[in-house]
Amino acid sequence: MNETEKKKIIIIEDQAGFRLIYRGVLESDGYEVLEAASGQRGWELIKTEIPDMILLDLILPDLSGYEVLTKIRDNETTKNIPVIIFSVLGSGKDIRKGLELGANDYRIKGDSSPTIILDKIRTLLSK
Amino acid sequence: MASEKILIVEDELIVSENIRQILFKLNYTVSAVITSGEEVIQTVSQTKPDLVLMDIKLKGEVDGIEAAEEIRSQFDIPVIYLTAFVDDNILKRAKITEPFGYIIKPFEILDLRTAIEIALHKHRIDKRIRFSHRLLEIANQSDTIPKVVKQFLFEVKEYTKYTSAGIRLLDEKGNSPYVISDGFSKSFVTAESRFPLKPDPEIFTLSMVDKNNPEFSYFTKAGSAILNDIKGHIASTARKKGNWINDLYSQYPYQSAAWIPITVENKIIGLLHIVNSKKNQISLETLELLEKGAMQLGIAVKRMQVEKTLNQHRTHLEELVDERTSTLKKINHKLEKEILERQKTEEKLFNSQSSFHNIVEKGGEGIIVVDDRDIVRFINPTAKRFLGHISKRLIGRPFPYTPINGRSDEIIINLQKDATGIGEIRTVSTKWEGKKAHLVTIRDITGRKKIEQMKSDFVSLVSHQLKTPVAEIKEFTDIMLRGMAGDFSEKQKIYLQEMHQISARNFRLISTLLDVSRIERKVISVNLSMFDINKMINSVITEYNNSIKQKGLILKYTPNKKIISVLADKDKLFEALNNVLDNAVKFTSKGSITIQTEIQNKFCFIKIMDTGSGITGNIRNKIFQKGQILYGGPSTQSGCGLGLYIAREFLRLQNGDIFLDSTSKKGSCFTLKIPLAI
Repeated sequence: MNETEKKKIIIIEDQAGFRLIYRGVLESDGYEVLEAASGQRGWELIKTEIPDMILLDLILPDLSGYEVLTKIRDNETTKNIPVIIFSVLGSGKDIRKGLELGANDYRIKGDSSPTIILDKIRTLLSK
Repeated sequence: MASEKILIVEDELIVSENIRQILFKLNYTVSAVITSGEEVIQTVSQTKPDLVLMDIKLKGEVDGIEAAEEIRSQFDIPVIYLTAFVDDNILKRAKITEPFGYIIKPFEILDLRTAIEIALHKHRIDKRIRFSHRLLEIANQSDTIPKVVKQFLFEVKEYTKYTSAGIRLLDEKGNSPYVISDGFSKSFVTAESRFPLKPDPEIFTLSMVDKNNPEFSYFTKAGSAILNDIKGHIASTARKKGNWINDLYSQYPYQSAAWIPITVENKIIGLLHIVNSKKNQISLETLELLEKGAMQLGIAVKRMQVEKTLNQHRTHLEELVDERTSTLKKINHKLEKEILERQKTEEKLFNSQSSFHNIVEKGGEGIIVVDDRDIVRFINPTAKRFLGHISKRLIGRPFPYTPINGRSDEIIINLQKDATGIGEIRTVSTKWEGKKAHLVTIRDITGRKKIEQMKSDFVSLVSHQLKTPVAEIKEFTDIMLRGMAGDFSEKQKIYLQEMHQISARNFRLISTLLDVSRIERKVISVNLSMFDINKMINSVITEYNNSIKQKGLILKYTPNKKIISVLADKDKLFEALNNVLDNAVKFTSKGSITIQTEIQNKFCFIKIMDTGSGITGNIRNKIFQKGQILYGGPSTQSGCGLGLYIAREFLRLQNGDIFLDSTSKKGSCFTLKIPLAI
């Protein structure tokens, strides 16, 4: 896989630890990883970079994950980018809301292993 | 009477000396002669003159009018102005000070004498009138008897300048509860109170009156008596035995005394007794005034006694009227009237047990008795206040909350003003008039609830914040264990494994706390859907396959051949099942765990039986409560005591329930009840 073929994934996550984990896991799997620590920064990054996949946390400073997801789905150029919500929130209500807003998948932090998310990303990107 | 003391204020020495001589001739005493207005107050307070002759034009800052005004405002002493000229303006100013006379200089001896005598007389009359008026005022006010008597004595002292005085009063029953004295020693009061209220005419016979000096003693028609020379009287009647005056007064240094019976409707109810250490201090005129005063006091005492009784009667009458009115209101409802009357009897009975009554009436807990037809039979003030607007008259009416014995609930209650709070309403069974009834108590738990809410909010916040880092650690160890961050030695892998497990356990614990917090804040939502219970049981079992094998236990589960479709919340049912199974695995060291399903009355019952240590005694009743940590399992496996609590709360949220059937030696059997989807 050469540079130009590398798929681009944006991680929007305020916890440095999770960014570190997923950058490691995803880069070793051959993806290009970009990071944003806030919802607003994440949305700006999405608009300029147009990534292939977005990993989105829900509890974020300024814009929440739900708000960012709404913006992605409302924008012509970004509306088809796959989004995986990845949050410590895990009630049925949270999950339903995420999926209704157009998330492709919902993972609860601490309940799943990074490898499961990696599998999900692979599946979604191979489509 | 001793000659009156007169103060002269005059700045011209010739005039003042002239006046002094005239006064001397006229048999008055000159208490002092001063020349300036500034000295007046001090001299008056030191010499206490009976009258002041005041020159209007004085040298210095303070003129005669100003000085007279000061005398008027501070002392009760008449002032006569001496002036050489009468200027309208001055006259106007002088008038304001209410002078007792004017003498225009130059004056004749007779002018001075007349003016002084008129002033003194006028002043005496004024004083008398004021005194009578004051006594009448006191007698007309409504206060307690001792307070009125004390004021009465104070006025008498101001007027008569007595050395000591006392009042004895009888109450309606003829007892003598009031002995109020001013200046008498305790021993005198005790000795005096043994003597009759009415001076005995036998003792005050004419023989006692000093014929040579008849002014020294009197015995009036009203029954009052004066002795103006006690020592002389004692000396002249020394041989008469049983004379209480002699017996009493020979031991005390009093010279004049007056006894004035306090009479109401020709009945003597008390005695006013004043004494003076000097002879000849009580005139017949004073005695008459005191007799009038005593009569007014008597009437006042009687009036206050009657008022007191009336008040008691009125209060009682008001109560009666109130009860009567409410009875009349209900006259159309024959049945309700009966209930009310019974309740009244009950209330009266209740009132008679005054100490218990007090507890019920004044306690901070709302207490209501509701009969078996849900009709309110008793309600205490606290409960009325809690129930506020809806309970103007609750007795005899249906109780707005259906009482279920043994249940407790939370309701909105009224607190002070418009504030509302949370009340805990509890019902226990009781008996009322020999019939089954409900005793409903309402307790204000607003404060407790607030604290619980704060605690719960705090737990939720902390849980979310704790979850994130624990999840991070868990995932770091996860990728390290999967070799995604390079190779580790075997020892390092074991440590990492341990770290991974600890963070996984912590993660679950925090999730559990979060669940409890949600249950308590009642912010939990239920999403019911239809699904096959067999599948869910299988997926729960999968989670425990490993630990069951490790412990060498046997799991007996035969899935039902038919699909059992239940209507439940998937997540919460999973959690409940998981918690019960977790419990079974934890507390079973050998043997088996059996899971059975059966259908009965629109419900699916899942039985989870183990051969573990079982649950007995006190714990049985508390097992589903929060914080019941079970011991018996290995200590590392002890939970946080919340699993079964959550299981029951979650099941109840979806119209299910959980029961325990356990006999210690045979292990435990938990039954989960879940509604079928029909």
